Amino acid sequence: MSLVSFRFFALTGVAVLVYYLLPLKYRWTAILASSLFFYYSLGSSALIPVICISVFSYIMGLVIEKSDESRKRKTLISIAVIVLLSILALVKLSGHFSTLSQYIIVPTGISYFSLSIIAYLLDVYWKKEKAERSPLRFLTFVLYFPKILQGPISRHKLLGEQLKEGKRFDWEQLCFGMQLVLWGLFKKIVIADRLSIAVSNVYSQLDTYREHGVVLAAAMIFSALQLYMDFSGYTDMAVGISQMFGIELEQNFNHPFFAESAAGFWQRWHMTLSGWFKDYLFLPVSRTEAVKKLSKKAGNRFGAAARKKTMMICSTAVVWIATGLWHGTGINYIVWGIYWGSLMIISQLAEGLFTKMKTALSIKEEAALWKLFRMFRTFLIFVFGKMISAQENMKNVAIILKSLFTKLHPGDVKMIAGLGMYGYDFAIVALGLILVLIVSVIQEKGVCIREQTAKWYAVPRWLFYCLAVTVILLIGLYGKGYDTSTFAYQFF
Amino acid sequence: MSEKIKKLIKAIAGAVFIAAVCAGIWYGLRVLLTDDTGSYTRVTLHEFYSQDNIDVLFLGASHCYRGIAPEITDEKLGLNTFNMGSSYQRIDTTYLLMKEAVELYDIDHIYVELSYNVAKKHAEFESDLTDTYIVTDYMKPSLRKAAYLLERSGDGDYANSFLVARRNWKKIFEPGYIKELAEKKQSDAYKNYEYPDNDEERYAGKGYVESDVEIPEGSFKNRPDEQTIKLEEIDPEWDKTVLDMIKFCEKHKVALTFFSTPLTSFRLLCYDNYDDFIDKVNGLIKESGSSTVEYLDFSLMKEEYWPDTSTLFKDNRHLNAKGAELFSSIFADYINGRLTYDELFHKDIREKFASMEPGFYGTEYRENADDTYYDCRLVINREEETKSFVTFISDEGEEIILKEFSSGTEFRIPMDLHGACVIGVGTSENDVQTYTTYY
Repeated sequence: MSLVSFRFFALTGVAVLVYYLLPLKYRWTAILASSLFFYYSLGSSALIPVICISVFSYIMGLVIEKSDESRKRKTLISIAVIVLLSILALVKLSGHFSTLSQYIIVPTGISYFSLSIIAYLLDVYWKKEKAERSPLRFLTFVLYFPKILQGPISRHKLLGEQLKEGKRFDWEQLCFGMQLVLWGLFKKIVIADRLSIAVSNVYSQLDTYREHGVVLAAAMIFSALQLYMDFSGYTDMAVGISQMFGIELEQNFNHPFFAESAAGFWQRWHMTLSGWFKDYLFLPVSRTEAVKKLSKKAGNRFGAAARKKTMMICSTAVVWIATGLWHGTGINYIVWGIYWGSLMIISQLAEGLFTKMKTALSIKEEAALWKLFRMFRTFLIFVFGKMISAQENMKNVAIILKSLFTKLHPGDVKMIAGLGMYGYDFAIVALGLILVLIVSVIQEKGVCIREQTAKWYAVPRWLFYCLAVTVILLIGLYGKGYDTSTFAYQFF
Repeated sequence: MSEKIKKLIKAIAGAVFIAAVCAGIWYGLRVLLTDDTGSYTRVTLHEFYSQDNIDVLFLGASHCYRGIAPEITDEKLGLNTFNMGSSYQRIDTTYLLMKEAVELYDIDHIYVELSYNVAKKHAEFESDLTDTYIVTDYMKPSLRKAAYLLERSGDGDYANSFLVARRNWKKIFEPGYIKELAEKKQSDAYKNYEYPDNDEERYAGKGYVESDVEIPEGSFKNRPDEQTIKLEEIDPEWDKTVLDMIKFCEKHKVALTFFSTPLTSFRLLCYDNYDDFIDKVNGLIKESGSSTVEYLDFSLMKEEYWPDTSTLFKDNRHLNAKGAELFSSIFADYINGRLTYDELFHKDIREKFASMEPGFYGTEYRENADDTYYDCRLVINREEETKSFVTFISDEGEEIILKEFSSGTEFRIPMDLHGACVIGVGTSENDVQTYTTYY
């Protein structure tokens, strides 16, 4: 069952209806039932491993909480984390070994729910939260259907509590949720799926386009925009569906293309993943004895600043290699991780130099043009990174790089029109992107559009909603002849 | 009035308003984007819903709407008959129309056309809903229709099934198309549900479409795609629906008869084992336990009623106006009892051809593996008693003998030859009839 399907929306509708019909205390059971049904529809064989992982994690949570002895607690959490990471690694690596992949069932969403579970167990270990008492509620947290495919990587502290307490019916929340689902659907089936036609056309025929750097550059930009529209569209749908249940889910995006630096970008892009790596990898790594020792040595030799920077470099390097591996175990993902990690480290190390350069060039930090330049630069950094991760191997990356620098013929611009998108597709994408940009600018200023439209008179407001639904249903790419069944981040 | 009730009324009014607005928008889009100016079923269903009552209803695929002229059956039976056939009408669409008709009218008798060709494609057309849409698009809104569309639609079809304009969404970017369509839809003919006739065929009322096309004797040409009836290719769902129809009609006290329109002798001979299909339908009726339902396969008609000529057909499966006129008349005579089963029909196809004179109907051909010539076979009744010759006269006037006058039916035509193929068939050299066909 795809998220962009009649069946999925019917399931959601029924789940919401049953949810509010049940007594407050038992409302989460409606979500559990729909999550089990949804997961089963994705592939029945994967349900058993997920249930096993959930049972194991549930028991470990309780045992860790009960245990008073520090050493025992440490052993238990280590076992739990190692087991969960080993399963994740096994699943991720199985793709490289055909004999292994025959025997491995890949549970959908394992990359996401594994991190959620590890976060939960570590929080229990650090006594930041209490262990879940109900095994079925814990399973609901793991399988929660709006987010199972590609996040957000929810924390049990937020989602588990809301599932437990149940939510009262709130008409405004229901409407807001539906609007967000609609907005996500617009991004996905009106914009992203159109861009994906051109992107897959170019990347699947690299040999044909290797002589046309302009086409490859266009594909790189389309690919970056497609990923954002696809992934943020999914997140909007996941958050929107949750809102229909009255449940608040973590935000995953905060207009990342307004970021002015690589670090700033990752504070706005896939925020729950960045947050997870910060809380559960960056900080613990920076507190390890080895890093402390190394930082101390650097501090003694080069001063206090060097100590801080050494700690940052070590933790950043570990986090970005891990981030690359989380996305995939191919060499391109490792290179992608190194690429981002290096950018973070260089920007930290050269911070002083950049400040001096800005002063010398009399650049005002608040100048709009400077900000725009920084945003554009960050966008290009992302575009390049996306190109690396989108290729099957590094040979293709090299082909694209070579073409970009040696085969840029302005006359090839015409070829972009022949990438499978028709004239009206380009027009729809352009208008769609302008709309997303306008909405983002307004939201960036702190204005909530949904709250603003809610203030309109009922008739024009509902006419607007009807028109919006019609436009999406009319021009969206879905149904026969289109593949909307998958999302870009679904297979990480 | 309590606050709660006020709120509820407001919510219901809101929902009705939204539904009305959405329906209005989508209806407007359908008018703008969907070209149904050439649809027979739009006109047929409009007429179907406009009847005072229907006494006798004919349902089925194109063989039905091209084969039964209600003007004739009305006159001969003294009843109001209606032909609700539609192109490639699947058996489940037939069943849907049957239910719709029984609810709307006090029907005495329903005649359901069964064709091996449509039955065989039942599963094949599972994912192609064109045949369904050409009916459902013009049916009145109802829960029955919605349920049927839900059942027929796969996951990717729901929008196309329920939002008709979605099927043509790309046309929204073609102002020329929209303008032209709007003009067509503004015409009185469209508004009055008059079908725009063409040179070859016209809508003749109550669902019947008549064609002037006539097939000259012996000129059928066909690739041998369907040499034998393969019953195993018929979807079990088809069988089930036939049985469901029997039960439904028994429950609603409506007489039911299954029938097949006559096929050309060429088609029947190509099938080789057409009797198997007849046996299958009779077997299903037997399985249902019904003693009133019967199956009439008009391909079994005796030559004294149905002459063995291709000139009654527009192609090898469909009747032309002349054929439909004769067939409707015979059908009506059978319905009102002027003809009995034994008078009208042979026992089976074997008996039928055995009773007929030797005859030549056309040629089956297929491309040879190396694409250099066609392997051809003359389709002849009682081929063991006949001899034939084939001479090719190329466009340049060159005469090439492809087959000497002899027994046997097979010959070859080089693919690069273009011209007239003269075929002579007879029992002896003094009794040869010639047919000319072009390649």
